[in-house]
Amino acid sequence: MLTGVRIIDLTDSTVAYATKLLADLGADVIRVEPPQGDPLRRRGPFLTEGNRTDRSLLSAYVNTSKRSVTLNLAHPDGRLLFLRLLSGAAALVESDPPGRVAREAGLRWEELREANRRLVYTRITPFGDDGPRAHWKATDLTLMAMGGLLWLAGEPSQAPLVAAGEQSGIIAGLVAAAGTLLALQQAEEHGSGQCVSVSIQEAICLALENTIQFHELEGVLRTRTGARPREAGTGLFACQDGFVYLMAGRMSTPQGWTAVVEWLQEAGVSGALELAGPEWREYEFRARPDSIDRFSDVFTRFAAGWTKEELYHAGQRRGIIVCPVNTPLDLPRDRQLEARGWFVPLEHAEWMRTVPFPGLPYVLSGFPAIAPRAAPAAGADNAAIFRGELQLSAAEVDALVEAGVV
Amino acid sequence: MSEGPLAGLRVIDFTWVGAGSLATKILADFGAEVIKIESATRPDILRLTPPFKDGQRGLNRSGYFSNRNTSKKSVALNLSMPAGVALARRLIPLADVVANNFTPGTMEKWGLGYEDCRALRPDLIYLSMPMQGGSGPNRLYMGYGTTIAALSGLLSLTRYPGSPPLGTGTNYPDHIPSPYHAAVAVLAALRHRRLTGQGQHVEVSQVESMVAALGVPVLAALANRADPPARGNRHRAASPHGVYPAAGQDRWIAIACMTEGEWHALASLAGEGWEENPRFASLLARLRHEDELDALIAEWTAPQDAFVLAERLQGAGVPAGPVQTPADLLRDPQLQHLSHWIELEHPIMGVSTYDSPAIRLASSPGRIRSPAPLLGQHTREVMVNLLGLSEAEVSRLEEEGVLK
Repeated sequence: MLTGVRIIDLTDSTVAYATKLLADLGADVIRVEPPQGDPLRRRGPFLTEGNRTDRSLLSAYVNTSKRSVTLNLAHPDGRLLFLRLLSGAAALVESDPPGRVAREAGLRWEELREANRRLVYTRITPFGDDGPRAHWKATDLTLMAMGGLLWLAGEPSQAPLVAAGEQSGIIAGLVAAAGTLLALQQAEEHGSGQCVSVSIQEAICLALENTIQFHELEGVLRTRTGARPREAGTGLFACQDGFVYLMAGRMSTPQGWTAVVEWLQEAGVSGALELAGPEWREYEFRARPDSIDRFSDVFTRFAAGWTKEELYHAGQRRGIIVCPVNTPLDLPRDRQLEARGWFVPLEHAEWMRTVPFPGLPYVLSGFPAIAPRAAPAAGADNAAIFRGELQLSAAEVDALVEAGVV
Repeated sequence: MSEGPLAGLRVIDFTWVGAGSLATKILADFGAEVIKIESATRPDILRLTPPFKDGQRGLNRSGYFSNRNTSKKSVALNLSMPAGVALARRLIPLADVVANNFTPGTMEKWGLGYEDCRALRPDLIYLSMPMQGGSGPNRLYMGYGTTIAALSGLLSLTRYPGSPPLGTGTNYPDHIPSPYHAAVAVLAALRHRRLTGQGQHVEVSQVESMVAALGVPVLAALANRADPPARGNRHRAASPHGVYPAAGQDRWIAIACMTEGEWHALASLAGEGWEENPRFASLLARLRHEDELDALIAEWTAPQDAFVLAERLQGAGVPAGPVQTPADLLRDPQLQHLSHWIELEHPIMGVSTYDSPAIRLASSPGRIRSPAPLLGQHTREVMVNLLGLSEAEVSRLEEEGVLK
């Protein structure tokens, strides 16, 4: 879908998700990695089995569908080749550590523009291009703290809890991919590129739901509430092989509560009859701590004899909002994901076995066969780019390898 | 002032509640004319969800609704009346994008499914955002935001060691993964249309979108055939790394030492002799004795102001940051430097604070063009200017309850 769009990729950590999105949609994304090794490839989680060198599963995921060249941007020859690559690119996307282009290659936006007037330069930084915190060191944890999302998660009696999977980079990556495409549209229609800036902290602020609004409009401080259900009928419940999430309370369908009670009564669970009383239809009654405990007691006893999949389908058939709390290993077995062929059997060169690989987050009627391609090995496309495209001779490339440029 | 890169684009927007509204907001804030089709007979649930201005309920008083419906127009159409549906269908040929996040089958019931719309406008980009996809055995299953977090693995992966599944405490899938995956796909589809004249159906399953955002831990679990252990705020390859108590009620500071240099800087600054302790002398040693180290650090941080301490730690080259509350965020000097918080005047709600888009385009910026619309605020304007109805016809339709 993004045919003819070449993107030079200098992102790292989960921020590289930005360019993965574009590569998976058909852009020609070329990762420019340091010849001595891309730090991203040394970041976990890792494939535990075997002795292979390239075991980073972070890299395997965020670098799908991309190409890779190795280039030393600090070396004058590297810098020249980099500028040549940029002259044919639609966009350059760069992230933490910020300013590799400026710091290593000594290139400023003005010079990049001179090389290519239509170039979109997307810079993703922890806090922004400038400002009082722009120089602060940051990690996923500290950014989630400073962006306000950390405040909202975890148990009230414990420290706030960070989201799994380094979401700060995923958030910034998603926002930056959209920003890059917006600027690309502008460049293709009007002939001129521009800078696109994304502050990871600022992007995280977009995930705060109604927290700022509660504070401002009602003077209410939204805080973390933990796993405990806040009303009878809605929340997490343990079952035979894990947990289910049930929504039969206020935010659910009107029939939800009645349907759950009927279900429990039909199953003959002791205590279910008491739940049929009219007082249980009132939210205020269900929100009482003893109501929550009584319901929990009955439902948990019922659920102990069922697996999460069984509860899921039986409940949904009755018009009850219930679903399994899936672990990652459950996902390829989820019949919906399976029916949609969502996991793709991808073979990664280093793995010696086919692993169900997460597919794309969209189905496109114009591109029904679109699927992620395995991430490249470091420098896998050196020959194709340096010799094939930039027309360096074999001897020239060898000289650059030996000089630590490539 | 630039109109934004999407100036001239028109979106007929049937989305509501969370993910859908946020997807079309991105387009609206960057210049598209987004016409939100609503009905007072079946209002967007968020219009009736708190927080409300002054705690007072009303269709045009919800901050939950307003922050995600900026820059849009609102047209009231009663889709339970054939005349309402007919008007909706008349808008389709005028649209570049038609968007919805209803249960599969809903749009089709109104004659507004992809095939129906494509017949009215062949090069249309049609965005649907069903919870589990438009096909498959569970496609009609019911759920809301937390359902997506549960199904996708987000709840299970985000927990303390030994705790039940917890998640982010928010409907996170609605806020970033679904809307931004949708925006990326729609923008790519628009480019494809510019080059080929072809439209298409873009479907974003909200569950699939969230699993994609969790792709790293999910892939790791599948590749290694084991669900990962819960680490809470700890890191598999760095120590110390966590959230520590600070002075005041429910105050915390995040500290993450990713290198030996950062660890030494922290230990030096603390001056508590941690560096002399052989139990903390190497990364592996600290990972093995993490409970002990965390307890010592917590004792040291607990009496200190999180902001003052974070400044000191940053000054010493240690990644650290206070856990910010909403009040902290509104005062945050960096967010203020970026002018992230915007104040807009709403006809009913008065002045309140909105988020800027977090994408800053240097020469064709997006901006919040207007606060959320009142329900039906632009009905007459759209009926007259876009569909060419006369004022009298509009009045008649209003009386008949079609424009409600």
